[in-house]
Amino acid sequence: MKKQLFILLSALTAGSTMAQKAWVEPDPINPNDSITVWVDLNKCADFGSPVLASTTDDVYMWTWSPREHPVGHPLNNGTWGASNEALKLQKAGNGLVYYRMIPTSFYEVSAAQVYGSPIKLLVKKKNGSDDCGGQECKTEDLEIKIEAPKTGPKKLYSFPGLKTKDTLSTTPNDVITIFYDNKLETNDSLKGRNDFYCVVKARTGTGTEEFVYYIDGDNIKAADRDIAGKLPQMKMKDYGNGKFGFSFIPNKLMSSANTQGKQILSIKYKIVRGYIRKQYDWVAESPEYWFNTVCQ
Amino acid sequence: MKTIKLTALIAITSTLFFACKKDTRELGPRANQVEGISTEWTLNKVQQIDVNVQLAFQESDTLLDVTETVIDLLSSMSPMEISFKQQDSVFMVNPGQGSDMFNLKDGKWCFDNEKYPSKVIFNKGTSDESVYPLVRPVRPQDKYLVLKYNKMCGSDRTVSYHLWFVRK
Repeated sequence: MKKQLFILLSALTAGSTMAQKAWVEPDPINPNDSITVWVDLNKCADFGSPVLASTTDDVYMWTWSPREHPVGHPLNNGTWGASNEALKLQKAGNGLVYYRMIPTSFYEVSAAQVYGSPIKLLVKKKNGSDDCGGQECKTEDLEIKIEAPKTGPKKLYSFPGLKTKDTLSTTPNDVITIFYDNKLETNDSLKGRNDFYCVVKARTGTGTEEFVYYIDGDNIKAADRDIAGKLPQMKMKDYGNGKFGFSFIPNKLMSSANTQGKQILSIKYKIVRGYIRKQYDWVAESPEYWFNTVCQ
Repeated sequence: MKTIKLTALIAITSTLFFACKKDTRELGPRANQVEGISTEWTLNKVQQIDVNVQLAFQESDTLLDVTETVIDLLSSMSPMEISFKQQDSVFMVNPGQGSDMFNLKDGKWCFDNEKYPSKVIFNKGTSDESVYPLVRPVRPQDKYLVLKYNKMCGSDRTVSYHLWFVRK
């Protein structure tokens, strides 16, 4: 059942990646700093999009959210028949176009409004009414939701913290500590317990199965249920007040499992109880943190 | 009566004034930190500093004691040691627990300023040059030598460690 769910999830994830028509970089963004809005015209299928993907003509952004500038404003969209030159998109080849902006300055809104109202845009030719294969020269409406940074207490986190969304600045030769705040647990089977183990596996390739481990935390078998007996080295330290932590040096911890000495790209972990009696004896999430592979 | 009281007050005030004046203390000679560091040291404590924290509310947001991870007391291997010699300005690392994390071997050492040091420079002017700031002074009477190890990736600092060495 779990395997089927995994396949379904993988398919959905792949589908969503394939369907990504518009996005922003970096991710996460700083609304007060430069971002790049990207559109892959090959992924846009409606109206004159297929023609726009291969046109040599200039294309323009038409945007109305988080805020549409009024007529007369230097960043106003212009008219449907004649887009504002200030909103001309740059071409990166292969149907990819982009526009660089500082969201709060471009839209003249606050950071909260950038997070609260998605960027809505479409891409068009200077004259949107031109004929693009019998359709208007424009894409469908595109929407990019900007997620607000998560603040406040977290149930699972690392020390040092993540530099970007899922990537550390450290290497597998540095100490990393996984913290678990049991006070934020919603699973009744885990609330108030203190026998936690951090079952770590290390990724050595980008494939779904390219991990080395002692026990696969994502696929714990009945024979592995005595975690305390099998992985005493992964016991979490009780820091008090419901907080548990496990510090380790990935290269050192995984050395016996990583027999071929492959480079560790990331670690994925699952917090579980010392002895697993039922399927709720583990924390639902199993995050993956990527290492700095530039400087090992 | 009034005259007696006044005389007594003047006498007491004068006594207190001169008593205070005689209590002036003098600074001793400046501690010689070259002398202070010149001995053998054993790695005793390691703290990790998260350099990505932009808004810290408490020290534990930015600093974590990771000694137990770097130095396993149950291990048969001893913690790394480092010795500094005043004569010839040489240093030597005796490998042990922790030494594989830090890019220190053998060679020459010096302070950035002998009188008022703030950094220890290892192998100055060579391709192996590394600079470790002193977290606190290392006078002859100090029990600990605390060096800061900034791990770099290009021009970016990825993480820092405070290495506490205890005098052997």
